Amino acid sequence: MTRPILEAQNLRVRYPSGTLTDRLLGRGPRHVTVLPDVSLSVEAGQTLGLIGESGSGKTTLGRAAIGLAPISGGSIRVGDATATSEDAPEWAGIRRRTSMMFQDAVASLDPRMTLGTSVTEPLAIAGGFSGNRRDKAAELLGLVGLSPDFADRYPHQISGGQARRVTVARALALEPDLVIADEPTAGLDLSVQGELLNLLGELQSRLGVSFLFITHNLSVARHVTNRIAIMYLGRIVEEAPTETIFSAPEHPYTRALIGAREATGGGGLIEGDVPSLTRRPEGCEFRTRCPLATDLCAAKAPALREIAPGHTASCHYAGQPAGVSHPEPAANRISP
Amino acid sequence: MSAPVLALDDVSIRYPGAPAAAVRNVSFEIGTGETLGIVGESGSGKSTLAAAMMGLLPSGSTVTGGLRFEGRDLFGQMTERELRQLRGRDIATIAQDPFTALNPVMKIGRQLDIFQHWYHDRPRAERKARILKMLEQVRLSDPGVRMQQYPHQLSGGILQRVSIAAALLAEPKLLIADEPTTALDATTEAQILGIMAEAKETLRGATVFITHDMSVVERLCDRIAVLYAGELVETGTVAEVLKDPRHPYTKALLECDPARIEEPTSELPTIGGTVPALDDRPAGCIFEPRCPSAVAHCRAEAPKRHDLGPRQSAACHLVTP
Repeated sequence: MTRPILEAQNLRVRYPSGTLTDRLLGRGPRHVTVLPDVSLSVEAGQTLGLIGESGSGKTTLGRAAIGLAPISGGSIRVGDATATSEDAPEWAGIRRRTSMMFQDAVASLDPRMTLGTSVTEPLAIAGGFSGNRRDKAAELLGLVGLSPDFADRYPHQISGGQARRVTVARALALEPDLVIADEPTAGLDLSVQGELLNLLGELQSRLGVSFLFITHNLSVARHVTNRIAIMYLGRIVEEAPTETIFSAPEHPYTRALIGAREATGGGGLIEGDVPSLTRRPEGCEFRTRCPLATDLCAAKAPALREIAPGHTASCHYAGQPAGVSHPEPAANRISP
Repeated sequence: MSAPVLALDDVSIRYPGAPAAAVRNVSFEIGTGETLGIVGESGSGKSTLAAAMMGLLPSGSTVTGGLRFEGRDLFGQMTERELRQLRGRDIATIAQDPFTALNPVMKIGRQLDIFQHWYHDRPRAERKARILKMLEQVRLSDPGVRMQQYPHQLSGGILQRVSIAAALLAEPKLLIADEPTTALDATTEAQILGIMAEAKETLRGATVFITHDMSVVERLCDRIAVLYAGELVETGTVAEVLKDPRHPYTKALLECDPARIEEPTSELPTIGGTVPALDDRPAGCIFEPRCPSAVAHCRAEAPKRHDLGPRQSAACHLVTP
């Protein structure tokens, strides 16, 4: 097997927290750790779905992968370049091979720049492009199914779905090996969402680009990803091939997410809210909402371990045959 | 069915200065105890309809047709004062964004007390008891503590429960929920939908659920109204419409939903084209430019509503009863 295109190893990201006075007086925690210790990899030509609720750290992980978050431990490797801090010199090389589709497509386009200038801006920044920028803009817009006259328009003149396509065109300008797509279908109508997802899939098979696909929508991820990593409180709690996540989820949180998609309401759902990052529960961090939690979960944090080839989960009770101190969780009930 | 709580009869709504009406010739009824899901994509006019049902359209908007709440026309027969008395008592709402729906500088308990200002003849202790009971009904932990807190101290899921409690405190005859779970996470959304389903049991009036999510309609609603580009294209019971959609748009919309596609696929169904702009509407059927089964006749003439059953209809030339 070839080497993964992207590899994050024991990645740690933390942001400064508290007011200046608090920090000067040494009061309270100085940092909030968003990603305590994350390892993940994306295989060349494949799509890895990063799933989690708000505050799970999925966007931070995506941003860290191209050096847009303060890395305080671990490393990011893209191709042959490895970066271990936010200001590492390797980023310039890495960013030439990766690109980002930001969550808010309209806001990620400069309102005073024509779309043609926007989609070719990466070429100008990377340097070394000698062709005609206008022709290149038309070519890139054509790639995503937009006519060349879009090159002269401004962001406020196009729809949300078209803005998404423009950000795809811009992301592909440097012919990257890896695109980080942060909630690429958020805010799109159902009838348009399919078009964008099909476009990403088609570009992948044509250009061989890999995707780190960040989303909260499991239904979408099911159709467009090869593997799925589930995040909770900044940790990956389960990772497996997409079919396995749906057919044989092992972590109670994954089951709850799948159950939330299917349950008819009423019982059988996990209660409560995601705990604060500054007050992580002792032991297993999911135990405060877990229907299966035992004394062991409070005493000891489960490690992320392989329970089947290519399938990892961090739960003390993952991988045990049903019935052995592993009651079938109510959240896994499927509606009739 | 008893007399409808809300009846729309050929309603068209045009915003001041707009080139055309945002909502055109929409008719439907909602009876006591019923939950109607209004489904549509952006530009379908669902939010305009919601605003109209509350009498909250911007001044200068033109409304034609009849929009009757308990037999009285909201536009025409009622003064602004009468409308104001209706809102918050007979008609209550749950907003999309729980973070902006509540007053940031007032404790939860005080706000919930003010929401009962129509019931000020009730003693203070009774109002407080109602609040506590309602907060328990929406399954809020430590209701007494929550009442002493400010909105910024609470999460989105808890705030949305407070909003639901606030709406239920009014004991409304009509409850309008405008995308109440769109801003929430998946597990929180499931919790809120469960609470809404429970609340329906205690609610004596009618509920309108505005959403773009078919699974929400499936979980909570009795009837469905599908809007496209400001027109009502299909209406009927949820069971019938989801099982056997008759209008091509309803069919296509259901096919597009990734959650409804059983087998994983790399080629997702789509609806080609875009919603026509207000000033560039087709002369015939509104959906004709994007319709996979359109024929020449569709371009020439706008279809009328075809009744398919006592309370089911679709606006399409190709529909046969």
